[in-house]
Amino acid sequence: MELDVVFCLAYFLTHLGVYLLFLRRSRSFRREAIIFRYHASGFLVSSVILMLWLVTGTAGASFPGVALGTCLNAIYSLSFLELWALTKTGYSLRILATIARPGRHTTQRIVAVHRHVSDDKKLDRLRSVLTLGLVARRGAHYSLTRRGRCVAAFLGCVAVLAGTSESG
Amino acid sequence: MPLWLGAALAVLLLTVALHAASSRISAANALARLAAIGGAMGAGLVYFLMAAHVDRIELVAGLALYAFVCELYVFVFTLSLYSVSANLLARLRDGELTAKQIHSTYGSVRMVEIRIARLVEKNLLTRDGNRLRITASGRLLVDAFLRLGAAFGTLCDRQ
Repeated sequence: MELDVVFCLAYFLTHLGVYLLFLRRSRSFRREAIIFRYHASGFLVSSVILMLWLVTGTAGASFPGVALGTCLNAIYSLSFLELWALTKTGYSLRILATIARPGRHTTQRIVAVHRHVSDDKKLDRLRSVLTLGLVARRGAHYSLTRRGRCVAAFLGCVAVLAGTSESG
Repeated sequence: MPLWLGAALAVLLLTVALHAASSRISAANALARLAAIGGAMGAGLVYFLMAAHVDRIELVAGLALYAFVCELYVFVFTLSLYSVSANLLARLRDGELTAKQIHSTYGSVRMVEIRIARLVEKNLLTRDGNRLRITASGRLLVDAFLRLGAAFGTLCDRQ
């Protein structure tokens, strides 16, 4: 097995192992920004190491091997972050979990139980887009910044391309 | 450009184009359509690279690149479809809004109702009159995510 692939496997095991054994109990690691930085920094460091191996011609390093390692790292981090975010903030999953509990669940009851989550989520997301500099507040009004317009246009293009018009 | 890289990028472009075309002729779920098209195109990529006698590492690298970009594409289009933030950005594209308008144009009740409708559509819930029941596949999904949440340590935030 190529050295770069062995390095990647060791990286996954260490990165995931450290999180599962120690970091998941930490309060700060329950925040989206922190868990994102944990993965982004790990991805960056492992990619730089792989690039250095390639540039310095370390034994066993090849362009396809480095590309494979980088792609596997990216798949690992993206999958982890998606699943982590779903288990933490997945709105539909919360609704499903409520209905999975014993009891009589009517549409009105589920709406009543979960509508406050919608309010919290909207406030939380409004704060996030403000922090990320995608939205600016001028007095009582909110509007897109230049960066926000680019992101909104990009997401709009992808939605049109994928044929996914309804959002929310 | 190496053959494996060029082939992976070409197949990616073709997959996105076919997915876009399929959305114009089929009302099927966007994710299901991508899984079908992406799977077939991925198999085609493997066949092409094997026929071209590339090294094993090049074949796997091409496939990994293809898989990663497909996953990224799924992430971005599900984000544009389901994300509250993406919805907010889309609404602000039409002009500035006050906090009150943001809340009223996309009501909390509507947010819950949309999700219930999607869960019913995906056969994770059923409606029995006014009553909602979870299906076997819905229960499997909840159990899987509860286990995953316990492993991630994220469940305590949901209670």
